[in-house]
Amino acid sequence: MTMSAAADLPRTVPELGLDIPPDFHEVPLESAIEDRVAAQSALLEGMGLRDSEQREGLGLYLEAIARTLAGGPIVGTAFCAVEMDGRPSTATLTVATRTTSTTDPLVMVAGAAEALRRTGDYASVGIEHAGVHNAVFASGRGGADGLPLFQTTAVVPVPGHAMAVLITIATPSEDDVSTYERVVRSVAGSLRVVTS
Amino acid sequence: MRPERFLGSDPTPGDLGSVDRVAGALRTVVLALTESRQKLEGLVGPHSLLQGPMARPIVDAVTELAAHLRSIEDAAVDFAQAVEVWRTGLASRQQRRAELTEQVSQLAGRPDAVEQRQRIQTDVQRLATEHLADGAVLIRAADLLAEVLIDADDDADLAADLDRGVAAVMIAVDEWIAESAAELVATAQSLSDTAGLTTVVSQILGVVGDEAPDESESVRRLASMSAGAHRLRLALRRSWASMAPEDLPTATFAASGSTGRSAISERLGGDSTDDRAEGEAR
Repeated sequence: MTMSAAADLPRTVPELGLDIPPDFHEVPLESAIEDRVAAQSALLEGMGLRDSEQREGLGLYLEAIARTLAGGPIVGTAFCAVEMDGRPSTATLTVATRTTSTTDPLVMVAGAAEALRRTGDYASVGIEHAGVHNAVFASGRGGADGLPLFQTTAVVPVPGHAMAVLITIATPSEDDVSTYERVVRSVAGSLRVVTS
Repeated sequence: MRPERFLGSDPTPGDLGSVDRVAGALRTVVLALTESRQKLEGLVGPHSLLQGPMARPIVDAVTELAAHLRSIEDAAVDFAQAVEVWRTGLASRQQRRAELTEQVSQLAGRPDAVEQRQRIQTDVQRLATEHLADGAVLIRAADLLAEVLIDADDDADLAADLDRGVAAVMIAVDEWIAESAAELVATAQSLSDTAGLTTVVSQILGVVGDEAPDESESVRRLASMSAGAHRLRLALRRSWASMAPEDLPTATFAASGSTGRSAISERLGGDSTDDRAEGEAR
């Protein structure tokens, strides 16, 4: 998908930085297939999977995700599988970028908040300060045709650019929602322009 | 003991109770002004929503309003301090007046006490002069407060500036929604869909859910596009053994920091998305 930008706005896309907690394992989305396969193998090794069928299934699935997301706005997706309070817990963290028609942060967050509110898909939509940014945080239940997921999406304007970074954290575990909401706020707050 | 009866007139007229009520009301007003000013300053502070060029007219108007409130607050504080000084002087003078009244009453029926009476009369005069001078200081402080209030009331442009600033932002937001909202909402939906797909990884790992992950339409669609579609479908139909909590790493959720840059962070740079799309096309 080609990102569109208003004609009178700079088209240079900045290099951005985002701090993802190391608990999250990123699904390899490298464009070169050899790099991607190597990254998938490293991920499976890192997970310590011994069951060959499980390794094969997961490997095929990771590759299918990479192919599905290719060319779209999704920059990356990651999962965590951790022990929290003595029980297993999992969440996904997915990041996308979106060019918009303004560099103005107030217009972008106010517009994004209103746009997300109007969808009716979110139980709560609000604007909060995260790091040095104002960002929109929208929370609700997703995963309509699969496992029910509790999701929070952050929309963070990229300072000085007609662009927003969108970050969604999702977990099937209602007990862990507040923890993962803190995580997504922390990740959103870490967004920075490395080079313009 | 009524001073007029013994001193001819009251050299220090004033009701301490009324002064205390005025001082109390002034404290309330100053607190309300401070609270309002701080709220306005917070509204346009570094953590405020009002950031960027479109917010500038609103920020300027609110900043000016806060400055107006600050000047009224300062004038009210100055006046409250003047009232406090007046109150302290009044209490002291009225105490002295009571003493002089008592002394005069003691001299009643003593024609030989002319000198003492004159001395007391001189003290009474001094007290009255001091009272008038302090009163004039209080009146000047009240005049200064009144001037500041009149000046603040004169600035009708402020409300109009604020109104114009808010209207401009609302128009810009509506225009942004018309131009960009659909794509943003679609991206948010893509994120939601991808979250659902990625969660299946945890199902295959046995971290979540007891059922086979091949439940959703999007997962079935994804599997059908896979190079190893048949094998993947079989994997997705299986119920994988649940992973025990002790086999999982304990959550930390510490930020990765600048030393360990994530692949997502790497891909957030430049034209990476297009590169990836091109890579697939090749």
